[in-house]
Amino acid sequence: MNQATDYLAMAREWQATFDAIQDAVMILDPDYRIVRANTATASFLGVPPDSLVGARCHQLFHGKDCPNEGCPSRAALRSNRHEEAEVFIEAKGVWLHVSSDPILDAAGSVTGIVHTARDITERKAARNALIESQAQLLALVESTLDMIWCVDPKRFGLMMFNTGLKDYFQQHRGIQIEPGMTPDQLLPKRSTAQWRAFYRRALREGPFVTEYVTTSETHVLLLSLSPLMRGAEVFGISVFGRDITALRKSENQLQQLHERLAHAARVSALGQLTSALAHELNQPLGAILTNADAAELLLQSTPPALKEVRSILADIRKDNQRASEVIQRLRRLLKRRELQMVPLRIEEIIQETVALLRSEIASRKVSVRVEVTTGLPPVAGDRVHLEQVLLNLMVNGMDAMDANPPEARRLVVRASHSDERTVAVEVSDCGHGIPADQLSRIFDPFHSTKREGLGMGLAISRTLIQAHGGGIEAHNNRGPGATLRFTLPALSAPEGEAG
Amino acid sequence: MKETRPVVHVVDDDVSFRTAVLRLLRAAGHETRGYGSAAELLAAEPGQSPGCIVLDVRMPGASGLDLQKALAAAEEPLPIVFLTGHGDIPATVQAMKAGAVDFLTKPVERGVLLPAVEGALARDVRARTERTRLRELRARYDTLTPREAEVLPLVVSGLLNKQIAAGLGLAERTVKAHRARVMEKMRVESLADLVRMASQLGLQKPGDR
Repeated sequence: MNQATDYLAMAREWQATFDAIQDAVMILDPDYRIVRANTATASFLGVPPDSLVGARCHQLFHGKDCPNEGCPSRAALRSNRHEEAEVFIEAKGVWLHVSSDPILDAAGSVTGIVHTARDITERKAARNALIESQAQLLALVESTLDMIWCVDPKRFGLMMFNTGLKDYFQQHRGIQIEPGMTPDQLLPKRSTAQWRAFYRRALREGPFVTEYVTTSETHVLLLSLSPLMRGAEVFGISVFGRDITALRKSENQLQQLHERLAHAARVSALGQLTSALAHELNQPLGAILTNADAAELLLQSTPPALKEVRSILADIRKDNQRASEVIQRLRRLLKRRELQMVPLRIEEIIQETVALLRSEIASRKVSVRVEVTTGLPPVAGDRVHLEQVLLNLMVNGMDAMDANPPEARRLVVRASHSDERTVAVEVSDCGHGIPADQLSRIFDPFHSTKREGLGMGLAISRTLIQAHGGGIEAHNNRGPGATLRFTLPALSAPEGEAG
Repeated sequence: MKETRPVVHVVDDDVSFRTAVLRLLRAAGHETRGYGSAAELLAAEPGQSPGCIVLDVRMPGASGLDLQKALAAAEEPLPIVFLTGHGDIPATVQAMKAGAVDFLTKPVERGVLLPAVEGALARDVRARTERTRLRELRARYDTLTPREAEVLPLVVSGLLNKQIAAGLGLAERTVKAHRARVMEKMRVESLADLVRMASQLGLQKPGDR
């Protein structure tokens, strides 16, 4: 019975194969009754393998009297073809991928179904999570008014972009953008080179931020570019762009407002100094007139004292120069203008301001001492604005000492290194000091400790110093009076001024 | 009064202005001296010889007005011509009250400055003459005996010898002798002259008590 032995062997071999399959495999008859099931099926259902044969598939898996609407076996019985579906087993909370393949007899009629079920719960969860995170990412990218896009690293063609970019092109360039479009297709000719340079810089140097003014000069964009990496490979360049046109405009307006205010403060400070300035002008003018009078008399004498007349003429020239310097200073102070940053020596600023205040200092009987550390580095600043600040601080200091006897009206102006990158200027008085509760507020606009004060001097000073990248602060001295101190960044070795 | 040319003292901390004023005054024939501060001027004791002061009101250190006070306290105060910047009204008023001769605003014309200086110098001459005369008068008065000094104010108040004698409990004759000595010592010819002198010396008349 060799043949019988062979069949038995084949049957055992087949059964072993059947049971080795990790998916649940069943053979069903056309009435959904289980003819055979492998061990994976039994262990999935948690029943002994023998108990399966004869049971109805839909009864076992779904606890129902008839097959589900989406049952692939039912479909295969009808179509005579391979069918598959994802089926949810409620009782177990498990997703199965089910394939049903008809078994056909020689006449082509269905005699049964091979029903294979694979647990895809985890795979499906992972896929769902991926879809969910993609949806979140998309929502994130679309939730901003900023423009976000990326381009490929070769042709710089658009790979992905958000609605922000799409709308911008629609609105300002009338272009319906699509993936794959290159800078040549998207941008006016004049700006393509610049954009390619941006992209290349991101590839070369990595992430950077820059400001970009559109060729029409109507928009200012703040751009943040960065290479996109997959492992070590750069597969694109991302760009985050924000339209800061409105911001810039309001900043400019603020700047203009600030300049107008600074101008107003200068004018009012000058008002306080009018008599001092008149004196400054009167001295040289008086000397010129008197010298001219003397010269006339000397020319009438016999013999005319020509030598002295010559030295008179030299003096007249000198005084004329002196008067026009005063006028130039005045003009500089009165002019409303934008910040002009140039390298300055702080000691010059101090000297000029003290000179400007000379008469004021004299008539108020204040003694002024200037202490400047030697070898201070220059600072970058606007001469007029810095003189304005120093003038404010010095006049404030003098005001604070009004009630002192003249010998106790001492003002010290000090300039020193704060650290190697900062120059500090201090104005110390011996006046009444600043009440502790007001120390934090004296730089606020319209906050004045003086009866006739506008409360703008220190506020303007702070704005001006901050515009220089410096800071200003006040503290009371250990002795009488207060010290106002401002710092300015020092200019070190000359750096390339990128435009 | 020493026989020296009057000196115009110019005080101004502004070298260039001071130089110009000194030049102009010299060109106009004046003896001049310049000072950079009030302290320098005070140290030079300018009142020793005749002259006047041209002074800037706004100066560091002691201001012109402070200097004016210090100079006014001196034995021989010099007249002061003030120079000031335009429109310094409070200082002007103060200086005028303190007896400034003139108050000029800078810049100042020769036609204004020179007459002001001449005026100040003339005033100094008059003041010096007057002060000299007064000093002489006082010297004469100091030679009077106590009794004569007692009689003098009664005489100038217009009392008759008889009335004075009664008042002082003296004989009329004695009073008459005192009166003659007073007239002689004070070197006056008439009662009218004596009255004027007494008033210049600031002697109180009994009637004013």
